Amino acid sequence: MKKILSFSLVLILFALLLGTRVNAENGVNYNTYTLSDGRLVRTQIAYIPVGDIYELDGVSLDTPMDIDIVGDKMYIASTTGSVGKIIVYDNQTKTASVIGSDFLINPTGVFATEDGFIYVSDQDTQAAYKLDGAGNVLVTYTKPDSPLFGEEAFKPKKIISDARGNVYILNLGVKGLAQFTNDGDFLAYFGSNTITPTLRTVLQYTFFTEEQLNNLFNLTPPEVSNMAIDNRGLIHTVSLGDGGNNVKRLNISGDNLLPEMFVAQNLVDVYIGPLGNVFTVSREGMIFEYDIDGNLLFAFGGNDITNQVQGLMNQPSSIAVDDSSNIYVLDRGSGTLKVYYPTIFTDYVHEALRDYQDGQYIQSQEPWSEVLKMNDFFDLAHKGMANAHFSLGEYDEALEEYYIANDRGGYSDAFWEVRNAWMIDYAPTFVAIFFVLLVIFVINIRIKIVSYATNPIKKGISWTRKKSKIIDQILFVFSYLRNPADKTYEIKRKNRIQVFPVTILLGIYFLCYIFYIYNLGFLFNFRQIENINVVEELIKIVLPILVWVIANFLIGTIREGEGRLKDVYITTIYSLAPYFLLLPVIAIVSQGLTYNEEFIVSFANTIAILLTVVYFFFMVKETHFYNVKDTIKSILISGFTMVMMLLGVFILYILLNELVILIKDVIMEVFYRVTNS
Amino acid sequence: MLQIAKKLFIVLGLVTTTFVIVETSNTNNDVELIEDTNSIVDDLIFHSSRYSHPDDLTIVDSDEFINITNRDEKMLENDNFALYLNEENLGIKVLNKDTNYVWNTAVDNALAGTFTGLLQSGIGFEYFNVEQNYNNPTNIGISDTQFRVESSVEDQTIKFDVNIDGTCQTRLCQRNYQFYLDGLITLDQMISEYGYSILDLGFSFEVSLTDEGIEFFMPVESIYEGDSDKIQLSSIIVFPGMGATYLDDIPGYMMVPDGVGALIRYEDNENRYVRPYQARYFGSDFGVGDNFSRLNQYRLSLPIFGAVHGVNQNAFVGMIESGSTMARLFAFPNGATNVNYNLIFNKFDFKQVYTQSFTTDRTSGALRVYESMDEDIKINFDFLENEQANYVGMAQAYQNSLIEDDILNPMNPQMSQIPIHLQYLMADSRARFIGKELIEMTDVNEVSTMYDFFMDNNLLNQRVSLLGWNDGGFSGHLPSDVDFEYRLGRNSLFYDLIDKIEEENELLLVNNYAIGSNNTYSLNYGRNVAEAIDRFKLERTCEICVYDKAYLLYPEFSYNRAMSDLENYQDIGVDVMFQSMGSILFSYFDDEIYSRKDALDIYQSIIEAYQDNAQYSQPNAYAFSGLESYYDMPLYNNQYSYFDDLVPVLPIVLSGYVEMFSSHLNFNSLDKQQLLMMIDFNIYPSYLLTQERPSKLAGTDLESFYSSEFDVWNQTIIEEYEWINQALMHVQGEEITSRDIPDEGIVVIGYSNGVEIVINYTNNTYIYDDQTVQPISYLVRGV
Repeated sequence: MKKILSFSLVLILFALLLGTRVNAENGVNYNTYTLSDGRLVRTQIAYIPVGDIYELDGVSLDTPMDIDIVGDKMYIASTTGSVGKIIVYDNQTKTASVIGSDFLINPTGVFATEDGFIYVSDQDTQAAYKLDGAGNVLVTYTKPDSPLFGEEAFKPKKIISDARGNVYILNLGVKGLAQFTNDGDFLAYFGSNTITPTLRTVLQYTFFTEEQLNNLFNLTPPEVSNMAIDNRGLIHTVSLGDGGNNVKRLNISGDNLLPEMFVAQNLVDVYIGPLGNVFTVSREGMIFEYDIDGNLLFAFGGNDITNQVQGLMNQPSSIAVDDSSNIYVLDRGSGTLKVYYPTIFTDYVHEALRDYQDGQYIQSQEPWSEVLKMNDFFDLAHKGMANAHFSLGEYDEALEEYYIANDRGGYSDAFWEVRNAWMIDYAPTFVAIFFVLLVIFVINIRIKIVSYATNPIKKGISWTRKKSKIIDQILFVFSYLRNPADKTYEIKRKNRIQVFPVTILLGIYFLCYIFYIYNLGFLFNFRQIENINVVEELIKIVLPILVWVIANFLIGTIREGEGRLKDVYITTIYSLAPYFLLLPVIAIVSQGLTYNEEFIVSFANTIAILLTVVYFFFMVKETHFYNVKDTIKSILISGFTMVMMLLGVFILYILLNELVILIKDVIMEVFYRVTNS
Repeated sequence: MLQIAKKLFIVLGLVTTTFVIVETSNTNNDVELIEDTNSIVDDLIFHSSRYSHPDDLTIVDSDEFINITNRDEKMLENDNFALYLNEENLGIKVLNKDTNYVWNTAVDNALAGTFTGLLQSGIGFEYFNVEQNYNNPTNIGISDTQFRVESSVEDQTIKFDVNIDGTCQTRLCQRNYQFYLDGLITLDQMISEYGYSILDLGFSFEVSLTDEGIEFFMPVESIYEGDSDKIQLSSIIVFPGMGATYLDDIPGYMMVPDGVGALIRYEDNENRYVRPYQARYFGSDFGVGDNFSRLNQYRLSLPIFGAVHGVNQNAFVGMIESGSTMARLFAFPNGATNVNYNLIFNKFDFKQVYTQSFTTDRTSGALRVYESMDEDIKINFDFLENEQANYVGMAQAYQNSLIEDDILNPMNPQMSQIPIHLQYLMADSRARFIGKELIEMTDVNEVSTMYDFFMDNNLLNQRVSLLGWNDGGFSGHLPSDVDFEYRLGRNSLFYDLIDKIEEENELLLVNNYAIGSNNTYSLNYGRNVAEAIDRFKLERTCEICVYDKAYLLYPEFSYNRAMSDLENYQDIGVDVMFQSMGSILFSYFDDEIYSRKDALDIYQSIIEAYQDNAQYSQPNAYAFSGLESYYDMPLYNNQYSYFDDLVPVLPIVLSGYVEMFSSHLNFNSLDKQQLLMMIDFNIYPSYLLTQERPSKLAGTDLESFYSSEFDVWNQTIIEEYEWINQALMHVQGEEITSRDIPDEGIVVIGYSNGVEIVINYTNNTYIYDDQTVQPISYLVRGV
């Protein structure tokens, strides 16, 4: 149930300069965030920037374009603009060697395998190469003749190869990865993005002429910008502008295995870490780390085009991660390699994930509790603890942790267990009550003892109804629901009901609605309670009703409807009763249900809505005394009128706003110019 | 018999095999972090600018010394120094008689592109051309202009009266200028034929020779603008060439008190750095929309700067006594703006241009000028030599001047163990259906219980501060009257708690008189929220927060509120911890434009009135008077890419006089490395505590307090405190006298009582002077 959240950089760069609160102080120029409850929250510093490297063992990095790490060796593709090279740096011996500088011009992609082969893609020589460790070319990949390839020029941007030796080359364009055999034969395209049809594109396709369709630019799928391969052999791609699916893990048929994730829009590179964690870097210099299931662990970094600040990036071009989870990012804007190392906090998270991903929930409990000790808002840790408690049979603790972690699936399972235990505990009580009720029922067949209880209540209600007109008229809604036709007649001809009590009924509806929002069970309620604004909700409920009433009355007067404004108002509100009055019931019932019984909630909701729709229809019919065809027409036209009314008010508001701003500006200017000669 | 033996043997074999299998497959339940030491990263960490590095102790060759030429006339002399003046460019040279080293306020024969004129002058300036839409020619050296100077000597002071007549663009113009002065050419001719432009600016300044060095003084009334409708003086650049070196000719560094302190070493940067370091003292001026400090997290909290030419040989430190509120510190690592010199100097802004916008969205508008400074400039330059010629000596020189001015008083440690700062978050609030809901995190009784717990565990020296004690909780309700939140406990319980803690320790209430919010009690938006000098209100909006507005308050309003509360604090016997008030300084508009100095005067009257009743969080130097405890001491600096070392300049200034506490260690993700840094800098620990778990704060504005639960932290606090105490208890109340780096990642700090603390940040054991220091640990010597 993850939602697409498009990434707003403003959110990240929001730094409250006024310093009213104490910040985590580790001397780092960016904040680190994790995801909690669907929002970004601050967390401890996860990675610390250690420095900028301009040269390795005396070899200058020039403009570095791509980096790959295999074991102890680091491979960097870089260019000076006219001459390209691959720098091979050995971490053990701390020496660097340069290969390929005799034939490479602009190598933008490099990939190395465990057996020491190096694959390089060069945009300007329009070829890709397989090299051995000494730099000898073993295979050259050039533009294939196959018609499957298409008409584009062959400008290989990036390159990887999988365990079977197939080579995937990312060409400039939107066709995805070109798959070759190890010897250089083109096989097919793989992993291209698709266009997700939106309402707009559907409409365009249906209504536009040939000519207009040809003029549309935006029918190309998002471009794949880079790719990586993990140790299970699955290829990951990142794209520019594919919404929540910007990062994909592809299976053999090219389908995406990852769910929608919290991503930035312009991703430049991806790399898979030692635990299967996915690391991506965006064009704005933000680094994201996800666990193997696509949950965001950390987001940090930022942009600095002046190259002044440690840890921020100018123009990131590539990212790689070594076995100790140190992150290496190439910055072609400043010509540097930036290195980040993980803190103790990150080490604990990785340790816990290692156990957790293997399914060793109980063992992961200790590192997760270390993580929680350092950060109580780390959702994934709560989820991990919850799973651990669940495996140990501690369902109450698991329930609490699932709630904090916002994991509704887990909460449902734990709640089932807790409820089960509760029911078993109270089973004797239930049985006893059931028997008592049975006995009463049987006796009641003969001697009407129940009426001893119900009669006083009935008397009480009718007494109240006599005493207070308002309550009487509010309770009239039940009579209305039982017999709408007759009661409508009473309302119209006999002035049975006044406006004020019905307005109170509307208020009661609103209270029911608020009760529903707040008390709907956690499993079914996806609203954030803190963000509920009373005024907003009031407008959401009351405004459509009022606008409908006015619109329907107005349309009724033109179309031979009998209802007066008062009648339309009263009957509309009465007819909405089924939905609103059922809401609290649904809310209360939902508190005790799990996902196994979800159908009850949705069923109840559907019934409520259906009933209301039926009543609504009949309300319009009876109030205006239409036949069925006219009723439908009246409803549709009233709907249209409502939209027009709202639109009119909206436009008026905007214009008035502009006028006010204009007047304010004029006054300000006069004031300033006069007081400051 | 054999049969039985065979069977026994088989059984035994099976049993042992089972045992062996079971033993070896027993999973280890300890959380062992798999630490792969990755050599490239380990190297980088200790070579990075997050640590200090061993100095290059090469002796500067006397050939590199600046020469006294025949253009330099000896003007003043005392036992330690001789002062020479070059009248052509007002460059002043000072000879240190002990070391024979010469300091020059200008650079002779500078080769610096557009900066050549400025560097070849002893003083520079910038001005506005009002008629050309406030065009602002910058970095002009006096030798670039046609000027007249009258100098006179009185005692040990030279007084200069400078008149800058105008500028000449060509040599022809310069040659003919003398004829103009003699009356042979008219002014009109100069302008039209030779391209002369009139400036007609003037100022006076004095340079005095003292026992420690020289003093620069410029009275602000001496500034003269001949035709202020045309040309106005905007800034004065004092001694642009002081301490300048070329590329890496001389080993040494520049010191910038950025955050905790930073060094920029003299190395050949190969043109990597484009922009110089530039920062205003005491943080940005929000009232002017200062944008240079956009990337800054840390401020320059001390008005000092300096350079070392040859470590432990010669150095100078500049201390700005007056005029720091409108000064900008510039430090050029060589290569910045294509200047191959390493420079460090200050620009004092007398007038500044701002945009007066007429539209509600603050775009476009007219340029206006305002007088940003009405203070005199006074800078003391002390010349240091031999063991004093390093950043420790600079910090000590500044410390001495503060002691002489009675600003710092020696600390009197009351107990043998170091103090610890424990801050309890009591309440905050979050949005609810109607209004706000108070989230109680710790009530009075719980604070009392936790206090007792730590006392029982031998943490006897505590500074307790309460956050969110006020009506409504912490966020959105400050500044608050002295009014306790009743849901946390009756007032009488609070008074009892205060009495209990004040018996042996100290209790502080956190309050903020400089920044308010839309829910602050009795805050009138129109009258109390400060306006920037362009009359727009100084407010920040945070749409995702519970309290979406934060306002900067007028200093007068802060003063009134603070004064009205002073007695209440005194009555109940607590101190206040002022957040923000000692650390922000801004100019504002209140019927007329007020400068930062005006704001400073008002804040200083609050500081004086609260002398014994207030402590500060990250205060600037102007709040040091009478300061006993400094909270939230920064441990880092802004980590610019040209910074080479992180050095504890600020802690050295305060060590022995002010107790220094770190920011909360709950958020420390560097484990022991951070604690070692605190021991290195003589800083005491600080923690945030709550009774409830932090996830209860979800939905409040304090979600950044992600770890604080007492049950989780109590043991860790005791352990970490003990570890730090074992080192720092020996040096309570002592000054730091030396700090050496024998090797990367090894620091030796010497104190005034002879105690030495050796810190080993690395993962390997280190042998120092026949004693072993364990990895990531310390060693105390001389106890």
